[in-house]
Amino acid sequence: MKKHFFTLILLIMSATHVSYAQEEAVMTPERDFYRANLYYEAGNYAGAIEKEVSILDKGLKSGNLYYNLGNAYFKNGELGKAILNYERARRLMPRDSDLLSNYRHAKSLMKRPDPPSKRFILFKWLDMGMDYLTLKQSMVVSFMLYYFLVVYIIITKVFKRYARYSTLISYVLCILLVLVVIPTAQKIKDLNQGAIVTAKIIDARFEPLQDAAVHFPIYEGMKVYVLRTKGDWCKVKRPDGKIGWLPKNALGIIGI
Amino acid sequence: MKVSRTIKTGLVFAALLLIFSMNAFGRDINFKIALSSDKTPPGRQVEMNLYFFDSMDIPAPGMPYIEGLEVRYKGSTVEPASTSGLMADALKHTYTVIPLTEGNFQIGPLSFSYKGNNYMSNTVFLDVSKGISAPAKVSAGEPADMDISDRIYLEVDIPHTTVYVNEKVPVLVKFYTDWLDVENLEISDLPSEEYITEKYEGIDPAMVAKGGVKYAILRFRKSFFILEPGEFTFGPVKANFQIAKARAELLNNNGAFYNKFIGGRDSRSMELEAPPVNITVKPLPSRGRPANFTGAVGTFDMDFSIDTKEVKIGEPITLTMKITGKGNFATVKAPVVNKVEGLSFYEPQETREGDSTTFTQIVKVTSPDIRAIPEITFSYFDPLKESYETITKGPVPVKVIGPPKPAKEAAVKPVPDILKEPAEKEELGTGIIYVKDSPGELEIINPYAYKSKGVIFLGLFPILLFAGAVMTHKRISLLEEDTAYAGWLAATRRAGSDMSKAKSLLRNNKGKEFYSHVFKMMQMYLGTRFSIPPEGITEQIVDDVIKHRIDREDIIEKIRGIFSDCYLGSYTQLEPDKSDMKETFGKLKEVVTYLNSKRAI
Repeated sequence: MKKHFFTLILLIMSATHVSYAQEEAVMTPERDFYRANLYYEAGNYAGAIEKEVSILDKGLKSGNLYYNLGNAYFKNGELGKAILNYERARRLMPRDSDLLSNYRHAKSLMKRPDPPSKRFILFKWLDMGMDYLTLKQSMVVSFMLYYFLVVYIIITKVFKRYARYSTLISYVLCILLVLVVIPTAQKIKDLNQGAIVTAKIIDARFEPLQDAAVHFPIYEGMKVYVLRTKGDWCKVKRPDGKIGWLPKNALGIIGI
Repeated sequence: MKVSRTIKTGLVFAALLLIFSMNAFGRDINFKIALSSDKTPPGRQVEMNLYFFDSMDIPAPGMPYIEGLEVRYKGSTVEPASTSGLMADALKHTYTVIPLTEGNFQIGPLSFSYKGNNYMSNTVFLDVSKGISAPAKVSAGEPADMDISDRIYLEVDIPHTTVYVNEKVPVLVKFYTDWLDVENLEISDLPSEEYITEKYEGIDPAMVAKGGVKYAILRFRKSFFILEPGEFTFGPVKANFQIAKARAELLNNNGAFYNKFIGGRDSRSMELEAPPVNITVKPLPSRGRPANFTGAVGTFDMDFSIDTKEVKIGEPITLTMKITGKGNFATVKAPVVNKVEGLSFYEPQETREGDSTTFTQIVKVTSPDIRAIPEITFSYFDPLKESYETITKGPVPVKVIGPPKPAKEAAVKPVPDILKEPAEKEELGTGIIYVKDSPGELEIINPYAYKSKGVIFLGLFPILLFAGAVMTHKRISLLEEDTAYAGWLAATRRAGSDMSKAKSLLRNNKGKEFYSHVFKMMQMYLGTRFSIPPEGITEQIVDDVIKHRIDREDIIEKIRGIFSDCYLGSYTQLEPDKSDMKETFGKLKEVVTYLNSKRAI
């Protein structure tokens, strides 16, 4: 009896020990994040990147995570990847002043700035205005305006006494809605097609072939839009409208 | 014709005669050969000068081979020389004559033709004997009775007689004197195009005892380097000086100290010559020569520094590269900076000070990608090690911190108004801000959240709402405007429930209640349908109003029949028969079905 009792105690102890050990082994995303910060402080930027990427690999994201990852890449001398992660962070916390500062600084270090966009200037202004909102927020604003417009039209149709200036107000609401929807659509386009060049410098070619004629060079950190993919190649469009083929591994898609 | 031919032939002959007789018209010109010394020991070179007084463009004549003598051409100058007791400018071609063996050599007469003139020289003799030393000689016009060769002499000290091209060769000339009053001492050697030399520089005198005699040594040094490989003869080094001594001492070597003060003083110009030194000059080896070697020969070191480690784009960085060491600084060129994109290099500026040369080079940063000033290399040939050496410095990290500073303001600044604006505008630095301490709200990555069903529904819902509102509005409008339709709609809706109740009463065989209900139902249905007050509808109204609006007579008859049945069923004492009730219900059903199908009546 006594023998069995000791065996039972040992079993319980070992089971407890195993459970503690397992708990120790399981690294929560938060722990990974703090560990990455320790690596960063120690100047081990590659270690910090590894930890932060491991959180992303678990299917989790946050603005701060992308921001820190961008910093680590920046310190590691990988400007393109730093800008890519700052871009991703901007989609989650567009008004964060630290992020904006680092993003602008990283962009200022690009060998060549992004070529000027050929987008209509009003749309550019709208994009700049909506840069301070996340996609979710700009969609909420769009929906609110949309609902308000629809409800207003219904009310004015049903209740004739509210129909005064209804046409004018409806037009104003429609214009506002368009002005919000256009940059929101651009945000969605950015999300789906936006990419950052992570190679130092690479030639965009006329065809998706290594020996195809060079069309134009693309520098690290430049933003492009992926129009289509074919094998290991992406057909990309620069903001100034030039289109060429780049190897897939020279790009990082912003989509998060 | 014949005459002219004769004239032509004559002219040709005359021309040919003129050409061939040109030499006959040339002059015979003498030129002078003079040796610096007509006696010399073997191996000690003697200077031979050829003086031409008539023309200054005569090339150096070739020397005939004389066995036992080696003659080398050194160069030419124009200088005053005496001819026929007069001083005149003369072209002097100088040769070095090195006797290889003992003997009495005759040089000349030399002859050659130049520009139709025949040049002819005198003859000189050179007595080469081991017993002969190079004595100090007294200049022309001075008394020849001075034999001071044992009291004064000259030595040339060159540490290495095998050197490399461009190697700095130090020369130390020692002028020994046993306390003679030497004045106006000048040390010189023959100029040559084969080497580049400095001027002699006097250094501290020294004392040495030789053969029991104490000598004062006046020392002079310089260095030179030879430009071409081969055999080279340095010298002879000459010392021109004056000896100032008491007259008695000059006359009598046993002069007394007393005489220096009591007797008068006299001076004599004298020349002393040291034997030349043969130097073998080796070319720089091609093996192991670095690609960036620019010709520096010596033993060098390099210091490298930059004036700032933080710079904005467009601002300059000054690179300072100081080469120190021992060697030929004339061959030292600016170190090679590895060119990289993003840096603009300006021409380096050179400053030489003693045994160092400092190069300053301005580099402008044009790219934010620059992380360091690239590697700087300086290669030289070390003659002591007999190998090429390369010094490498850098890369030196620099931090490019953003856009350039604004242009400097005008020299005269207006006095700032402290009430209006701060005296100095705050300038913010650039760089990246530190990492975040917490991960924030972690959420699941879903790049296509905007495509979710909820979002699609939210997008579609207002459209549905709008469509419903439009339809409702349209229906309301229709009901308000179309009374026939409104009557049809109301009658149809009510008929359904009323028919159900009638059916229920029929099933329960409640005859009186059935007929009462059917009567009221017919009144209500027809009243609603035909916009007639329902209470007053009877068989009479059917005949007066309704029969004109229904196109089927059988339906009208059935309506009449229903009303008739209801009267009978309601007002008889007996309980109505169920079969009659069924018949009435059948008529009712047929009438309602027909009228319901007719929206516009």
